[in-house]
Amino acid sequence: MEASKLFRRTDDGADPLLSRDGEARRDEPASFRESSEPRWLKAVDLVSLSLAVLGGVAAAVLALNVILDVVGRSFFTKPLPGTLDLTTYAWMPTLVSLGLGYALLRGEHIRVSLLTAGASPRVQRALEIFCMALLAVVAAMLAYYGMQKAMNASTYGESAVGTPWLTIWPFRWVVVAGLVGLALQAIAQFVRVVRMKDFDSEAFDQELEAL
Amino acid sequence: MSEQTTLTAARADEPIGRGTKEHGNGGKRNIGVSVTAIIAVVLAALILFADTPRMVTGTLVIALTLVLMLLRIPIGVTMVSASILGLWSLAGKGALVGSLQEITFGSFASWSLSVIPMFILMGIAMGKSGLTSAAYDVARKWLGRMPGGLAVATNFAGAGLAAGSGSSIGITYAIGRVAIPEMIRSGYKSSLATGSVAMAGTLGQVIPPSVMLVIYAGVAEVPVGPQLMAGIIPGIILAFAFGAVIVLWATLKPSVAPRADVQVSWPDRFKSLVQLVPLVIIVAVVVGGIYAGIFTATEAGAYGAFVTIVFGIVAIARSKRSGKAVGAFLKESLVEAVSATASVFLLLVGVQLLTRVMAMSGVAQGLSDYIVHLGLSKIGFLFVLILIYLFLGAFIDELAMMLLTIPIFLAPLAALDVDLIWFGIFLIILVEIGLVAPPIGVLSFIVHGIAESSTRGMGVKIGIGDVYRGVMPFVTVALLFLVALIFVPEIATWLPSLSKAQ
Repeated sequence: MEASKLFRRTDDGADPLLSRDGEARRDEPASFRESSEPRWLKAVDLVSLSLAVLGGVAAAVLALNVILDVVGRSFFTKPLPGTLDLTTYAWMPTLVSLGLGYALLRGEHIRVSLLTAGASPRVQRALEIFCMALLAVVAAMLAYYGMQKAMNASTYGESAVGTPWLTIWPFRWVVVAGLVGLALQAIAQFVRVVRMKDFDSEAFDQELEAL
Repeated sequence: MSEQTTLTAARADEPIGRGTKEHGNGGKRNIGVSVTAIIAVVLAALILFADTPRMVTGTLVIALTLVLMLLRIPIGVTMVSASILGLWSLAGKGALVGSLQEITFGSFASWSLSVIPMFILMGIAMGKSGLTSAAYDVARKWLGRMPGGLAVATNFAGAGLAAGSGSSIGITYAIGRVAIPEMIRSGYKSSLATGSVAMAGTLGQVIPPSVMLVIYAGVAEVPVGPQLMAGIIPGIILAFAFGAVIVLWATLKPSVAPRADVQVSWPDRFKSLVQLVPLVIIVAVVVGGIYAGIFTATEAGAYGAFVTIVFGIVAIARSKRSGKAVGAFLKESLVEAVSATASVFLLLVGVQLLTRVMAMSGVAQGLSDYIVHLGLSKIGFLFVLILIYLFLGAFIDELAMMLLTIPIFLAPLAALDVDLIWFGIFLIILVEIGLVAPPIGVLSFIVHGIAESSTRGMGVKIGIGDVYRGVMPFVTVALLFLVALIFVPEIATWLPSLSKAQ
């Protein structure tokens, strides 16, 4: 959460949970798509989208890899070497982890709004702030410990048991990158909600959809 | 709302679907939220600081997960954060760190679950390519003259699409946008019109390819291919049972569904079948390929996605005649598939951690011992489970319900010698009932949304109550089917035993 503190504008008050939507921010429209939004927020969105595009490439490669493997197996009695391990250790971790941040940007992570739907905008805003903070912390924790393992795996040059030429450790770093992307996007959403005057989860989600 | 083609995508939309626009009882709701938040803090403190027996800690972790879920925190995150506290308390820092180092990569790096992105990609590409719109058109040409014909056509179009795509919500959108306005225009009662669309959607997760069945297979550790095959016969039976409900309803009360004026000549009917060719090929590749043992589930998914994308490219190139549109179709399909896949796998990380907590705390084993001790028979236990799931389904998201309960119920189910592939089908039907049943059936809310937007200006008022009244007869039949499934388990287990699915 350090980054969000660094970037938060000084007039946003000390504690977002306690600060009333007072004078200081009267000039800000509720929408976060307005031009006064700090550029780094847009940059985070762009990073998420770019990572997701890379993930999309990995998904396409996975499909092609599997398709060619079957072709090779059936027509040339020669399957593509390492298809199973490549799919498991390379394509899957890449395509899944690189989509994490973008899924948050699109509001696609599954949530239950049964209880909160009727609550007042202030309560919803407080919840959303807490939620994004928790998400950022969880993602950062997973990234941090994943990185420890990735460093360790890099030093001994981890590779697939059945496919010795396939080094696995680089893909551990890809997963770390995806988790960092998720943490960054969570911080960006956190700041967005903090900056919003009237928070309405419905409007917020529609904003996300419009993006 | 084009991204609504996957199950997960649309779940994210719940706030829109379910959102009560009026903040009328906001005060009460605020208190509810505050109390829930305080409970969450208390639970977290108890897990961390109270010296409770292991089983109690495990139970507190489940309770904390549920409470955090109610606070609109992404479900995967609720499971991860509650499990972190639980692991810390049960096993100490070393074991927690060890779990966190491995859990993300370990959950993502899976061969058997690689079918999930492929099925999702298939569903999204199908929705974007317009291939789905043909199904209803053909079905109405063939079935439109029956009693309740348009609703019957809706139902079977849903079954057909279910065999090509694993998304309940995608199917509901594809059919609902066309079928609801036509039914209302023909004088159908809104309850029948909306109910039949919602039920057509539910078939999507039962008939393979089904993302939910794959997720179940992954968590329950059963082979994916046979699990998918197990859904075919139950899905077909349900489709015909729903069709029968419609015909019966329309025959007993002709006013709910006046005969539609569908004038189609036989040559026209046969000509319309051409539109179905892409869908039939996709179904043949995926379902046929797995059944015959030509493909593993992942291979079938990859070929299914490939064929769908090729048909999509042809369809788009024909209608739009621009390379740009084709490029956008490809890029959007892939990126949306990755995004939806990521949201599913974040849940799986949570389930993996939660499963560890359940194992360490002994909750699953304790529950299993308790049930065995109760002397509950297998059939008795399954009936109890129906009640538990109907109750849970009224409060929490269906996918969450499935993921939370599998780690807990697996041990008791094993103790009672319940076939886990059979249980997957049993569970998925309960999940589908939860998707449409009041008070929070997501699919019913989505159908309500489609009905409102697609019948604007027709002078009808369709409330969510109409949708619930419409789904009730079908839900009753689905529950009866569950009972039949308990007494005749072969309905689900026969086909997998026959097929060469891997």
